[in-house]
Amino acid sequence: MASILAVDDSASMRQMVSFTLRSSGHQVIEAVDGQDALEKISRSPVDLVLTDQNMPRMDGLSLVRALRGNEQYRQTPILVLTTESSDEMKQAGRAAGATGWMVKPFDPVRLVEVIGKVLGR
Amino acid sequence: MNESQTRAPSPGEFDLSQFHDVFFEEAGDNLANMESLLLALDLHAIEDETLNAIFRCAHSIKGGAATFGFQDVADLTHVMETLLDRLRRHEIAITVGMVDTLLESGDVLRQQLALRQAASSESLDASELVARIRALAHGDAAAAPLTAAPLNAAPLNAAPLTAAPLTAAPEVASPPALVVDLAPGERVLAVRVGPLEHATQADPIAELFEEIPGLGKFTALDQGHLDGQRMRHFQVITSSADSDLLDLFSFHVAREQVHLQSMPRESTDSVSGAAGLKSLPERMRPLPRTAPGGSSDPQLRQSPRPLILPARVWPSALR
Repeated sequence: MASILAVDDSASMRQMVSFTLRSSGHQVIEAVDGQDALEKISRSPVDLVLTDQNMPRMDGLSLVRALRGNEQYRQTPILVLTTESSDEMKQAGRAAGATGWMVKPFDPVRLVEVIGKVLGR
Repeated sequence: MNESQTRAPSPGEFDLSQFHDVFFEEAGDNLANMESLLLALDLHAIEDETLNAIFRCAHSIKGGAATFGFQDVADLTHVMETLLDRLRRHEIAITVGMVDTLLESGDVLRQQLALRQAASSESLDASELVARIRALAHGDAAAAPLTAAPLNAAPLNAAPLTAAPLTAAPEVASPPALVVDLAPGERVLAVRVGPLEHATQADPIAELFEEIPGLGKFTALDQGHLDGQRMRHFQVITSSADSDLLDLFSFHVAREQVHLQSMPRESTDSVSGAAGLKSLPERMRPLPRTAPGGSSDPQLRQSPRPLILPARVWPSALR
């Protein structure tokens, strides 16, 4: 079991991701955007961050950069779950320090598999 | 278009259908938000964050729709997102036509969502709209023919460009204007032609601009369709005088069916180079066709001169 921060401005997406992760035995903290994520994470550390890209206030890649700039989260797995599928964006994600890039539509089975893989390595 | 209901739910314990309600509620909120942002847009002073916010509305609906397999909703929001993405990246400039199309898309989306929410087997064919938005996003000549300059680089006067009048009375909306760079002496004219029985009746007007290279730049704003008032909408960038254009156009449609509206631009010299057709020798100037109902101008009715346009003599004289 891991503690996972799920970041998405869409309430339905957040709920689906949380449901999936909790069903798989993980603990989930939800955040509505990058800024909210940074606040939440400062209060309770997590093992993995799963974030959307397009969000108000602070987008996913900015969140990745902010986390990578924080000693505590330099090595933490960060997955981006987004509809953005362009190579350009994926490259930007890699450059920012994201661990993985998953393209929506959201597939709960695949998400659980990927998270298992990332946490198990 | 309608595999949405038949798509298998996510396997096993991850039955996501329990999240349908929250998705529909959220999609409704996003739609309402997108529309109010679009309606409040001031095309002269668009903030990046406003475009980002509109983008996110479409983006968010798309993400959920794709997850639930609401393919029609996902397809439409996908092209909207593509258009909005290019706009927010300043790769293309926003036009009233785009705003209008996005608002139209909102109406269609609402219906699509209602059908999906009611688990209806019906679906709404939005393929024409999807194609239109895709063309706008790709700067297609028919949908958005002019490679538009950034709006703030070529500000147009406020009145014809604000979105509000379009949405207040979509049936009689003024023609959507495109943002363009004008050469000295050129101006932008909104041209409405009609009411017509058939949209093609106005096609010869487009051909005039092909036949007469110096006449101006012609753009159809209506994808070749009549609007609710049986009007067609064009935009012309020209240095020719209204009266000369009217003379030309009325070869093909009744003069009363042609409505020109100048779309003045701030800080644009609209005087020089406007000699246009007036500088032509009288014998070279075209004659208007008598309107079906009879022209009010007796001189036009009585004219004995042939109604053939001496195209070859025009270009240099018109420049």
